[in-house]
Amino acid sequence: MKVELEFLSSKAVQRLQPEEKLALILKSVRKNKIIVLEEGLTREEERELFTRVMKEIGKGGFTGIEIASLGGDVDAFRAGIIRFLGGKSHGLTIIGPEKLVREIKRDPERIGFVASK
Amino acid sequence: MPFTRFFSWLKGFFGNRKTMSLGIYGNVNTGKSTLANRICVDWTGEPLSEVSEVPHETREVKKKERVVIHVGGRKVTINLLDMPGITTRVDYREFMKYGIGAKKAQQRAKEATKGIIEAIKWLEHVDAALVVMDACDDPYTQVNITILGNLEARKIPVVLVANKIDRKEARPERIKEAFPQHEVISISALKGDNMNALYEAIAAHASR
Repeated sequence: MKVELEFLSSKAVQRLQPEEKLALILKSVRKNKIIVLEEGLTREEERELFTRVMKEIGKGGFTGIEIASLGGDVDAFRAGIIRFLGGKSHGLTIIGPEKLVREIKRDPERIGFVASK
Repeated sequence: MPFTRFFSWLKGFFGNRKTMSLGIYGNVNTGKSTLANRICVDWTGEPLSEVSEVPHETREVKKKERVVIHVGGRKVTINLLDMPGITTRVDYREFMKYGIGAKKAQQRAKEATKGIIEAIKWLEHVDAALVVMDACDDPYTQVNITILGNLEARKIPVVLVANKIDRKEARPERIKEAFPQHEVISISALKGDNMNALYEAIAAHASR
């Protein structure tokens, strides 16, 4: 069984507009890839992603995603300052196709993705 | 319309607080509709939603307007909104395990996804929210984190409801550990256990 992981660096994520970020995630997940964002999604972006996923369900057998994020509960003002100082404003996010991800093991400081086909 | 605005100002002036819209949010099958029914039966005598063991029984936002709650000498009027359960996956084949035919299962999945989008949209419009979690399950799910994050960002008051405490395996303390920043009320919507504590928490938010 082949499982493809795609890592997106913090810099690469920061270059993308929220719209582009979500489009990229959906494209990768629909290609059966697990995508890891070094600088994760904001709660707003997660919410928008949920909506987009719902709109895609049923198309070409797509059944949804599994997602987990680590840290990143920073408000917009603090996030702006952290970014200005060159840091990461949001924690890591990992997203995979529902069909591939069997289980997510998580606690506030750790994420485990169990994948199988 | 100026007249409507004047009327609403007049109502506010004489101390009639506006009706609070209270959304019931949470993952699929946490007992949201059972809770909505419990609240409606307690205060209006009639249930609101159908419930079943098949996931996504509630596929559209169900509303009960002007539910008047009397608690601790206070009277609180709420518009209750029973939201479809939020999830990031819907597979029609899951419904077929409950004896639903393929065509109906696909239709149900379609309706479920629309309902989830509607529930997500409502996150911006509720005055307060009850986020219902199954006390038997791990509360630390991305759906719970995302719902709470969005409500917190809009400064919408939240009460966490640890539901199904009538079950042996219930561990509501895990919810308190996972989300220590929020008030947690442990209840059994099915049996009606500890509902008064929940009504007091709702009333407290209504008077803020």
